[in-house]
Amino acid sequence: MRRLRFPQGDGRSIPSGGNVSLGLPGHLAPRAVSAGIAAACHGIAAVCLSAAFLVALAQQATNEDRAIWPAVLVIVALGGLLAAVAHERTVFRVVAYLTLGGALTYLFASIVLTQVPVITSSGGWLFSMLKVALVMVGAVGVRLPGVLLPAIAGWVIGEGATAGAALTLGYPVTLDVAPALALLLIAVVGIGTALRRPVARRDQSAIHRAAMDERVAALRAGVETRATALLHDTVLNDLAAIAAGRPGPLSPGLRTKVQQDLEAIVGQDWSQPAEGAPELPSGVWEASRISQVLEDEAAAGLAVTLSGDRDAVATLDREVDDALGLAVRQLLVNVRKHSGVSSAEVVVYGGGGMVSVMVIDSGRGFDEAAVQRDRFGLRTSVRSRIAAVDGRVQVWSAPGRGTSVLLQVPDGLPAQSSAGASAAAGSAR
Amino acid sequence: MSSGPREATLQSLDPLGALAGRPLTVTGAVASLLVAVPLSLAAWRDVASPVLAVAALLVLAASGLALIVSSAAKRAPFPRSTALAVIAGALLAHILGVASLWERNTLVRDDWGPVAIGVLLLTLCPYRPAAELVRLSVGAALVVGAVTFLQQPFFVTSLPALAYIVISVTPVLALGLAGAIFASVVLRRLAHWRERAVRASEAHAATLQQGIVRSVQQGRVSILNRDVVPFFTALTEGRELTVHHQRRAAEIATAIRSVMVAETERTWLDELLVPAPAGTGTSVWPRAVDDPSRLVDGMDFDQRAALRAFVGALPDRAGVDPREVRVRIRGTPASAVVLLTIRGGDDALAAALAPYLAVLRAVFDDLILTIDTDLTLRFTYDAD
Repeated sequence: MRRLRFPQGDGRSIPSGGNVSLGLPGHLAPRAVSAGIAAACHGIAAVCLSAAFLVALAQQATNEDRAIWPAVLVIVALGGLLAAVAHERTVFRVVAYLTLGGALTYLFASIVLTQVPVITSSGGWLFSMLKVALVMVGAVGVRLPGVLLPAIAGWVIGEGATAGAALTLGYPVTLDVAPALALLLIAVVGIGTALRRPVARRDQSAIHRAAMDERVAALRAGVETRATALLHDTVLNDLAAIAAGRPGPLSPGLRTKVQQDLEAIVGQDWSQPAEGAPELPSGVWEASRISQVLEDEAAAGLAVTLSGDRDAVATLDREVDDALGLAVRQLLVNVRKHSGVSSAEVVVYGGGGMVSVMVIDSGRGFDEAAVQRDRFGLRTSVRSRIAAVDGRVQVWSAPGRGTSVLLQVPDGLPAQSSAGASAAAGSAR
Repeated sequence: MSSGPREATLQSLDPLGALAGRPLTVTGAVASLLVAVPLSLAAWRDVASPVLAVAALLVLAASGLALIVSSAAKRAPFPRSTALAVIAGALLAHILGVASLWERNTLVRDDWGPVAIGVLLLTLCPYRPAAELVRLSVGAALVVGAVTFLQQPFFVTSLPALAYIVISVTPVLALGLAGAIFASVVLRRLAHWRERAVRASEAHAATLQQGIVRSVQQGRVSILNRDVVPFFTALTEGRELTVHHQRRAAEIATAIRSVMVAETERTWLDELLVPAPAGTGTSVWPRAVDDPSRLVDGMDFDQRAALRAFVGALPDRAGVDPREVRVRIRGTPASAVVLLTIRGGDDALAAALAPYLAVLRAVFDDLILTIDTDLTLRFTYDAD
């Protein structure tokens, strides 16, 4: 008889997170928000430059005798600089964007003021687009000065470059609202996020701690469930056997069982695999927990008939095999103790990604709803165990009409081959 | 409300971030008016219909107000229909504004409508998925472009219509897409971090497994050592099974069963609210959760973690003993209804717990908070 041991988890019992997280941790949130704001700024700059590009092209199309196309090329160059700074936000690239961008803006303004007849001041719409693109250079780092200073520099450089070009060519310098609003936007968003950050950070860390605690609590709950099932399979079954036994000499079988169970519960370290447990190579029926259980129950006097495709259980993971075997054992113990008959039928079959085991007896049956709440066999040793390995249990029984219990657990085959098998089954139909 | 997969919005995936950003939403809604009113006044001498001009500003104000009201944390999650209504209102305001200047609008660049629409689109970014923000922005730009096209005969310069359309849609697209880009970048970082964090915490939990198994065994063995171990030892040392043994076996079995009943009937939420004293064999623990169908087991990991954070915050943030909390769960697995009551809770308590309520709102459906003599939370979830 193989000794009972505490079922070892193989990591499946560690709860994985849901499909949603509970927010960015405090130390990462500023970086994520800063990266988001920078990318959004670059998006605004890209739209503005694209719009300027299209309108400058339109100006060239309307004024065919003028040479506006060099201004279009200037926008393309500025777009290249923007792509560079968007690709990597370093101080060097930000400074290069602002200085080269300022020079390009001066060049652009000079071309447009001399070549486009309707634009007669530094406040032209085309200029606004380039100025906004300079303000939207994006932040350096996550601190407030790193957010504000580049934007202010971009605003000063943009206004300075266009004003310089206008003054040089004798045009008036006028106030431009759009770049000022762009700067205001950066200031409000930057200050707003900086002010609120410490408030959120404190609670965020409490929430992440709670998530970690939940993971550990779930892990512990799984271990407790396995421990309860083990206690039921050993101590409670032994006590029941003692209470129902016949007074007189203690039977050697019962003595051995009680000694082994004492050893399993008290004498072993549950966190270590049981010593001396015979390890048969997996992948064969004889190595499965369920085959061992059937042998044990036959030795205990139950006539068990096995039918179906018994090799289906050979594919099961170790943990699933353990759970299935121990659940079947409890069902057979129930047959012995409660059904009033001394025989049971076990049918094993696989397919559709599941291994199914049906335990059938023709005994007196029962009404599951009427079972007392302190009878744990079906609840803990069968249902909880099977649920813990993502399986399911169905019970058909009624007083006087026997009992059939269907256990279904996922097979250990890779998902694809299961899917392939069912696809093959589908095409054969 | 059905509880489908949670939407990929900052409000549901980073609830505290969205809560912290709420003042910016209010600022944005007010800013759209602060842009519109001065520009409207500056163009007042060109206004053909003052009634339409005032109506335009009122409709814009109403849209901003709807945004402010709907984005309040207690109304989370912010639905798509409200986002559509806010932008539709802003578009209507723009159309009314254009109509008030009909035939007299000579420079499309002075219109306030596109800027106001763009600012409102930008302020929607914590509440709606990035792809939806892109669709809203493009849709709004199409309407603004069409409105501009209709005014083309009145413009003073001889640029092609395309140029005017580009000028008018630029603020809408620039600000709207900026919001979408912000949402998508932050969510991408969040997903990236979460992937690593889940791996790290699973690895951490795995390292704890051995210790947990040892401590569970310790707890079980200390109970068994009292009665079972001496009984089994005496039985196997002797040769006879006596009636006394049988009676004793039945007694011990009954005692163990009663502890197991109490244990298996206690849920994780009971344990969270009223932790059982360690190592005791008593079968009488107070129950804080009234849940006959055990629907509480159907909560997913995030829901449990959010509830755990909330309960943990009670003593830390609000000075409330978790044992003062009562939970009742009813309904069906498809729609479990939770009623969580804190005796003597008030507005100050709700304010102190605001971040945790925001997280609960992100993971549960239609959370409603009421305060009379007690503070009560009512929310639902899918326990299937």
